[in-house]
Amino acid sequence: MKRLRLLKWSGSVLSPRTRPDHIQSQLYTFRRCLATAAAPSESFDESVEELADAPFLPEEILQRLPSPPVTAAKTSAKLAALHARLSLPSRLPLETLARTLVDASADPSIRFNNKPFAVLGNDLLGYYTSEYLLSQYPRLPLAVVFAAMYAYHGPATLAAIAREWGVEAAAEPGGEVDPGLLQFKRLPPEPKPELPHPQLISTRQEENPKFRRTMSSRSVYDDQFGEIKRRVQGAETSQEKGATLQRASTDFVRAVFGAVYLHAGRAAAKQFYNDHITSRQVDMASLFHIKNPTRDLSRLCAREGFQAPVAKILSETGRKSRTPVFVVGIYSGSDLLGEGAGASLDEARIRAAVAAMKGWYLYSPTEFRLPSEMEEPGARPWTPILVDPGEIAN
Amino acid sequence: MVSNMLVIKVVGETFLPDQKMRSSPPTLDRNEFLGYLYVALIEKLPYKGQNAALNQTETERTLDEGLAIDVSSLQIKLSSSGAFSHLEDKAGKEQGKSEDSTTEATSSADASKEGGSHPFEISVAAMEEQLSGARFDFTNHLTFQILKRFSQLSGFHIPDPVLNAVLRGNKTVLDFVELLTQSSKPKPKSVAEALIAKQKQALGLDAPAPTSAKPKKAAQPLPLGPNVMVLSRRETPVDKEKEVGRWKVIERELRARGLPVLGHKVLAPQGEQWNEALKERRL
Repeated sequence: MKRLRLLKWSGSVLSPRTRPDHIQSQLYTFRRCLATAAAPSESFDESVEELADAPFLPEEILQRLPSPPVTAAKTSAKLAALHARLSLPSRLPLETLARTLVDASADPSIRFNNKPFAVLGNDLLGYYTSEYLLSQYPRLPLAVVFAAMYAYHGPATLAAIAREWGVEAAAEPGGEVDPGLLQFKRLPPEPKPELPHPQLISTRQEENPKFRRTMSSRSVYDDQFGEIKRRVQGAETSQEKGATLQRASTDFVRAVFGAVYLHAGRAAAKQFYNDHITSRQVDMASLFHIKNPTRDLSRLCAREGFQAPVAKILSETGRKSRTPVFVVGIYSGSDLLGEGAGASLDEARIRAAVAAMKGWYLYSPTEFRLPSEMEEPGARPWTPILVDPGEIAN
Repeated sequence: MVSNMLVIKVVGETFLPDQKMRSSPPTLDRNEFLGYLYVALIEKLPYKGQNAALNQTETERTLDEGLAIDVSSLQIKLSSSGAFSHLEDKAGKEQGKSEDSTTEATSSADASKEGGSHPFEISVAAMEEQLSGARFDFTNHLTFQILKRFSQLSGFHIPDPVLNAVLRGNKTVLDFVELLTQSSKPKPKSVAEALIAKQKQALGLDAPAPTSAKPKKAAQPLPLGPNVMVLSRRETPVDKEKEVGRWKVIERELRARGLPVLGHKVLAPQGEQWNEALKERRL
């Protein structure tokens, strides 16, 4: 059995940021430097020696760094304000927060960019969101689970979160940039193709048409949003080219989660998750896309041993008028499964079936516990949560 | 950190007020102030003990003359209200108060003829222990003698605001020394310097001054802190571009097009490289 050397990982993640070259020093007391200072023409070491007493550092040295030096974090007002605004735990130092703002496209060294934190943060987000979704809505179809995961912590949401946190992006990464700004190399604009690609008409959007992507294959092979994982080589080349603002913001927010987990521990990370992700409202009912609600409902009733569903008109008005309204209820025996209103009998019946299906899928236990609660010391003994036999095959 | 042991050397000549006026006030650290104040107290306070030589001298003794006096054995006694009362022998538990022992007066007088410098050692902690809780009694004329002697010894004129703060605030002697230490520090020349120094202190970049570990009172909201940025000069549009990292791009592109980086030639700082290149091109 393979053993993972976790200690070594966390060590590399938390290791003090030291540049291997001699640029690194404690001289970077102030980020701002004298713009009109004469450029030191002598060798680099001498210039550093000479400026040992000066509180400001010439820009030539700073501009050689791909990302701001560690010591600049202390003097950045933006960074301190961000730390306070997010009410991050005091055990998370400003230096780490500064590191979470450095994207891999700005500083390729993983000792200085937020890549390690982002990987950890992404896993944490996936873990917490999925357990929350599955405990709260045990009957959700997998496609809706994927959509909900995307809605809770997908790239678009995380980019919106970064914007709500008030994180601004730097125009260009570099050592002289304020460490409180999100730093990434912008993706250059793609030149417009002179000849449009030949329109391929196909029923599948996948790259490999031979590979059939079902929900089951998505849950096994694909990422937490049910999307195809990017190839490693493709990721590296795109990293060299640059990143979009959304991608950089996404990685930043993930990295903050990872950093909180590493520095302040599990409880603080959970609290931070609850404050910033669970507190966002997602309308679960709007994520559904049911193609054949009436057929699904009858199959569901057959599977669960209910009586076959029957649609009945509950009320109607203006049948002969221009705008009639019918209210149809779907009954299984004497139980009203769902109710819908529509301009025609068919529409009302379909709406009622959809309401019935959503009522089934969106069942939520009044009291549920999350598996991660068992990680806390002194947790109550685990009571099994509901596990649904699965969605209706169609 | 300053070594905890302080050697006080009192040389024969002392600072005189006119000397002090001529030269700028010296910058002294806290322990030096404490030492001078201690010496002034030893010199001016009345002695109530068994040492005849000291009894003789009353309040007119000076340390640079009385070699026979073992100063390290003396202890400053406070009255119940905290004001300075008198000197005592540290060893002498039973205070005989034999004030009329004039037999040894001659010997001490002989000893005092030797003159010269007389160093004695006392630790800062011991001084602080003796002076802790002590207050100046401004109704007593002795206080002003002590302060005058202190001023002469240290060559530092006690500013009126400090005295006023001590008097109104009913501060202790150690507080007085703290205030003096603060007021003796050189004042920053410009507002920017003062602000940068304050900001450094607020950020903890400066090494904290070697003061006695006193728990600070409830932290008042400081005007400066980690969410404030203090710059040494006016922030220019170039600085704003640099802050977001755009300036190097602008500069690169301007250079690539052979355009002046900082705009008009006259406004550009002299000695810039582009300036030279421009001249050459014109010639």
